[in-house]
Amino acid sequence: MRNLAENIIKDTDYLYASARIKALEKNLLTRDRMERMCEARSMEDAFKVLTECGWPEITSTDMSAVEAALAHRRSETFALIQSVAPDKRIPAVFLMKYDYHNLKTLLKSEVTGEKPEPLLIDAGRVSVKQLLAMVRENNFSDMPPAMAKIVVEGRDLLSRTRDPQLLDFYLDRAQFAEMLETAEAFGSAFLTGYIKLMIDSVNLRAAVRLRRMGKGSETLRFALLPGGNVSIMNLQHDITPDLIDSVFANSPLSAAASAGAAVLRGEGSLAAMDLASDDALLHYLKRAKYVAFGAETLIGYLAAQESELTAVRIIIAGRLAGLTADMIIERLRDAYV
Amino acid sequence: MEWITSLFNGTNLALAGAAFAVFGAGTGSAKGVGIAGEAASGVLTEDPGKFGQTLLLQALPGTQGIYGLIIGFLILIKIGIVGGAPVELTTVQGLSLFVAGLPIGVVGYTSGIAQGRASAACMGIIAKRPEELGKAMMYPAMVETYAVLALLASFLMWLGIAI
Repeated sequence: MRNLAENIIKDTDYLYASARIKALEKNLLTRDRMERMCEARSMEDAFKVLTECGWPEITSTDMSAVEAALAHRRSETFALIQSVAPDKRIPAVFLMKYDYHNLKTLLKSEVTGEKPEPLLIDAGRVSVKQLLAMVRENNFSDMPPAMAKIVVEGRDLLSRTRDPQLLDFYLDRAQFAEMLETAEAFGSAFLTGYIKLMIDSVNLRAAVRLRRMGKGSETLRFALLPGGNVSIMNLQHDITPDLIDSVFANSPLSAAASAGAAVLRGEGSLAAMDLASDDALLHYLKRAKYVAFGAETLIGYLAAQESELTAVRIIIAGRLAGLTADMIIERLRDAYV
Repeated sequence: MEWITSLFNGTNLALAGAAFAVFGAGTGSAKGVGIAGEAASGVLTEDPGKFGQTLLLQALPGTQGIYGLIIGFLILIKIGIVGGAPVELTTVQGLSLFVAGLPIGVVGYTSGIAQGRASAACMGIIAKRPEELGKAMMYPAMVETYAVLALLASFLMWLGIAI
């Protein structure tokens, strides 16, 4: 009974946090604002749209200045959610990917000898400084237990196989397992459903990409993540466009799967599949907008912020690369608001 | 045995009715106003200019407490506790007044919380579209209907009880 009571999420615990987030949601980039950024005459005009939404002023059109603004926005969002969320597992689930990304980078750099610092993202639960010290001193006692457990195994795998892709698969599996476990322990069906859909999305992308690269079922078995809504057993056989279509037919990812099947038929593009997949995830998250108050509001906002950062990166990088507004708009994901 | 006699004493039963009306409806309002207040604080943290609109929404669940107090007062007046001339009541009269306090006590409690939740939900409308305050107020205001009906039921009972 006690465990059951601990898992009950009271929506009234989220009154303050939800109302505050609702007030901030109006600053998120709408589809209209994104298109204005794409169509703006100059980069400065595009930045003005961001400033209207409460972003800090970006003074340089250099990509590093944009990346700094993106990092600032991300850390502001996480700091806010950390301060208002009654349960810190909500931001933790979204921070895990940065920890695992940093871990991948550090372990790979041990083999390649390259400096890892430029690729590290100082946004996770463990700061980059702490992580560097932990890996250097081989002391993982202060690391989240689920992560600490796999560092040694990951390092061993890499030294044996010298295959960075295998390490990626291994750490992705550990990351999603920890995310799912945390979401289930938190007790939010909405968050658990989101993670499961993310796992399905990763599996779909991996299956299509690996099949396209001509990789065998052994690699697939290693790459596919357990825990999603779609059984990975169905994807471990010889992957055909029809199989992809049928396995994901009843999933929210059916449109993305059709795009993936088209890729395997040599008709579509991977970018179209990725876009449809991201849109399916955002469509799921949009349910949170209709919850008056509760953990869903915070979860939806965090994911929407991440999606917004991706959108800004696509727009700015696209503009800097000289793409036309239409070409950039084509690549944009759906907006949360 | 004295406590049983005291329990069925008409005046004590009527006092319990007055207390229940004030306690139930007052607690409902306190919880409702608290719920709406928490949400209002969230909106105000980001946009202090919305104080007026959020205060209006927060005040809505406060009426149940007033209704409870009105019934409580009316019962106290009828039994002479207010006015300085206490009336000796029979057990049946006391029980009738106790029952008269129930509708507003129970409905005041439940509707106060429900109205607070509706007000808190409408804070989200104010956060995004402050110009829609009129529409936003309608939803929690609908809950008020049932508190008013309960007040009416309690009042009619009180009116019909002859002392």
